[in-house]
Amino acid sequence: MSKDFDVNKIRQDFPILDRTINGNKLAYLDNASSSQKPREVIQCLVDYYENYNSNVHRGVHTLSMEATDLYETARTKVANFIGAKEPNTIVWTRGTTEAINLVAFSWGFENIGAGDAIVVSQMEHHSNLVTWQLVATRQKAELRVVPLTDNQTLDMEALADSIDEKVKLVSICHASNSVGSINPVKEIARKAHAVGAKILVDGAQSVPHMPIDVADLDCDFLTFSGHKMLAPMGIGVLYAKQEILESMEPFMRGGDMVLEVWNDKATWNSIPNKFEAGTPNVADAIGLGAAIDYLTDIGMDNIRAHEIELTDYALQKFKQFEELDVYGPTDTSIRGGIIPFHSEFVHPHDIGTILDRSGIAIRTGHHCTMPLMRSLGISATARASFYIYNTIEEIDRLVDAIDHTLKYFSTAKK
Amino acid sequence: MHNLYHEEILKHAKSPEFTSKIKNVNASGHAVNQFCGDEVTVDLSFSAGLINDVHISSTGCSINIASSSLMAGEIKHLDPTQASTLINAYKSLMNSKPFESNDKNKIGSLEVMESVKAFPIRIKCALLGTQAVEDAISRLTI
Repeated sequence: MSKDFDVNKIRQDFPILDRTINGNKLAYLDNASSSQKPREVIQCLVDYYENYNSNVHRGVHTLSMEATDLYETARTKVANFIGAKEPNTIVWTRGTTEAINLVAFSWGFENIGAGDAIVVSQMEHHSNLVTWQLVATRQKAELRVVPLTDNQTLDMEALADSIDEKVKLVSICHASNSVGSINPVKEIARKAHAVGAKILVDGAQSVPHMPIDVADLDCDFLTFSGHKMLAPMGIGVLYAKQEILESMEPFMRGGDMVLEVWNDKATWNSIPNKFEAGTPNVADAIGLGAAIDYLTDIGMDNIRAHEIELTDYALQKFKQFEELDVYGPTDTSIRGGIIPFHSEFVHPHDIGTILDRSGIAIRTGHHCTMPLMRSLGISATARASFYIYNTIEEIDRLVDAIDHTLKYFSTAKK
Repeated sequence: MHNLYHEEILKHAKSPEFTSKIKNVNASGHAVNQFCGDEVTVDLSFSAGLINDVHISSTGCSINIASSSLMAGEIKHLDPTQASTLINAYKSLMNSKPFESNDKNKIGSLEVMESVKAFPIRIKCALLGTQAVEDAISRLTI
């Protein structure tokens, strides 16, 4: 990690970290769910609404031109951030879920038919599972779910077996929101392409946390959400290869996505506008651009290194809890900053409530991965997840609070 | 923490009652908390119009397990109308005003669940067993 990485300096950029919760300093460890926002991003929104607010595209007045310029500059920032050569391969969406649905409805229903197959994994978020259930059911295609190994990494042998000539799409998360495993998507892309299939990479848990290069990964689609990477809620991204976007029909119809309209027909605007019907979320797109500036300034390599340090430390500390099952690989080179744990004796909700009394925010539940929970033989986990502003001291507080919780329940119940 | 986890709650969470399977099931109900995946299944057996036996199986947090266990004890020996009255009183108390002394008579041992009201996000945990019993009563065919 670069010596310039100073977590205490970074923390000063996040006003919410000054809050106290139930009389304790906030330790925000729910980043896989949503991240906090630095002052730069918050101020960017204020600045936009105070100085530039206007509808984009087609306006001839100054504000509209300035707003359009900011909005399209943000698109270019996103393209540069993920290694996409052309900004027109970046489609704004509300988030990852909408981006996956866009691919399903526009590309999936056109390109997946009866007898074809779609490959997903057992660690998918519901958004990357339920969506393909719909396509498979309606198109009479087969949905293949690749199982996981004993430490919740993708079973690569089973994956190789499941990718054959029938497969039209492999849709897989880059990093799991629930168990933290990082999948070798570059290798998976090669396997998919070898049989003529496309690959969609759900980057919701990877793009915020590590350097991403779509050209290197050679993925056909990449989806991610702004709110998990310091940006406002309600803005997300679909990246797709240019020729694929060109070939796809629009997802939604309305203003801005058309070129010419008659009473009985219409022609489509060029990409990416073809997929952006209606007034877009201009302010939050610009906010995502500001978040990318902030992340780029710190450096994605530094962010990844910081999270590996936190995760290694947490995994080491968690070894003291014999009564806890901690899921996911122990090798942090293939693991994101996510620590999911489960106790047979204390339900995750009870852990979450008690930790909240100490000001520690974690998430408890199935994390939108019910089939994964079922495969682990549990209904829920407690999950701590890290980001750029988290500290070793916060992990110590987490560990102390878990220790207290486990002791409380073991003694109180006797 | 003692504010939330009343001694009686912890006791029932650790050793819930009415967990044995019963014979002659006349109605079964089920409820799931979509947020966390917690589940409650209940079987009711009736005799002479009264609930004469209850089996309740909950998976989930201590609040859910304890409230389900207490609920099972309270509805035993009631008729379906009386059980519904008790359930409605309990739901209403959990969702609105503070408990008053005469309210406690209406819900018996479930009064210990009042402590959960200080943790609004957990109230739904305290009502999952109730939903399963309501589901069972709604399916009653006798």
